[in-house]
Amino acid sequence: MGPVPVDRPVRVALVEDTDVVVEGVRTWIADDPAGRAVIVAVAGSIEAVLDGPGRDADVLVLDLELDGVMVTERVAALSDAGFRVVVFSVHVEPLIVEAVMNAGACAFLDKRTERDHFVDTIVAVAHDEPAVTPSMAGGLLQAVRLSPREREALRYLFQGMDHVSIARRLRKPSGETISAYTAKQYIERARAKFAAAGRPCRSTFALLARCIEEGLIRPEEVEDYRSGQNGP
Amino acid sequence: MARGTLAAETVQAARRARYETIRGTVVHLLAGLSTGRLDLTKPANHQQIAVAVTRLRRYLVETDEVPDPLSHELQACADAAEREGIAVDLLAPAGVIPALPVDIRRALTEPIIEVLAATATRARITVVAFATEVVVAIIADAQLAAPIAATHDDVQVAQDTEGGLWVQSRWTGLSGSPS
Repeated sequence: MGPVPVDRPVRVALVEDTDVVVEGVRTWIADDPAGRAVIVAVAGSIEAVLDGPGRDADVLVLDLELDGVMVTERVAALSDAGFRVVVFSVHVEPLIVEAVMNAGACAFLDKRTERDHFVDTIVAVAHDEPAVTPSMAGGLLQAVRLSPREREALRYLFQGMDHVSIARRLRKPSGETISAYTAKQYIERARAKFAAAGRPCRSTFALLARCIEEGLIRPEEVEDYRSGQNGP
Repeated sequence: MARGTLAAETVQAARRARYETIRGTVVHLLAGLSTGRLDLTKPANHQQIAVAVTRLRRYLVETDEVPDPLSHELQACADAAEREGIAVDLLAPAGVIPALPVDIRRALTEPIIEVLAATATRARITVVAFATEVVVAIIADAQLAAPIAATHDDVQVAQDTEGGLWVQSRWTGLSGSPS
């Protein structure tokens, strides 16, 4: 499972049992000006989605509560089977976010408030890039040993700031401003640390490989986090 | 009997303290309303009343026996704003909020109440907690007439008006920041 080539749309499978939400997702994907994603399968259960074209999707978008039952514990097996799971849920408690991320989910989207992040997140995940939504930031904050700047950047993201506003708040002690790109790097580095320290699975390896390639984290640091040494 | 007297005195002292707090908040507003001195068509007066109503709701829940009083009080503030037609997104706290005395909790929620009273349509409220640091923040489409001041020495207030209003209140415990 290599990353999806950038020149073709990302194939999305959606596990969701509420019609109005499915309609919403279809609209967001159709409204993306660059047409970066297409839906290849939709069903109300994991089995039904995987029993068809959904099994070859690049990204599996998973509602955590299907017919009133929480499917949180399915995330690990799906991630081990090589699916890039993006959890799409109203259950945004940081502990649940942390648990599904640790199980191997590539990203978490808050169903109520993160529609604007939907397509960007799916596309980033398909390319094995570190995607961090505001709801994910709350879960990451407690889970990893972060530098003060990484923690501050994550906190502002959780509070609801965009990268430009975060950069403005993260002014250096000298008063010098930092760029939105640098702010984004602090956040992505926190994501890489979380992946390094968490449960090993295919999605995590792909993400870490990408992060090493991008210079966000060094291979020896990954080893430190994996063995629990948690270097600075 | 001494114990009974003591208990009665404690209850009375608590009542007096509560009355004093509420008097400062609402009595002058009620007087203004009853005499027609307070012009409700002025947004500033309307906001003053919204602040008072929300404070009252917070006072009412301050003595509830709940595991997480700060979240409980923020929920009361959010409920009051939602009654005014504001869409409030109050997120579950990131981290476990340490036990905080009521004056610290009030100092943390006071800026949130002021922003909510000035909010037009929507607000997002978050809490990030560590053992010696609690940060409450609000992002809203609100315009403040004046910057919000801190009301307690151990609580700092920060704000930024560029690109929507952001206000943050931050308590740090004795051992400083947890980094």
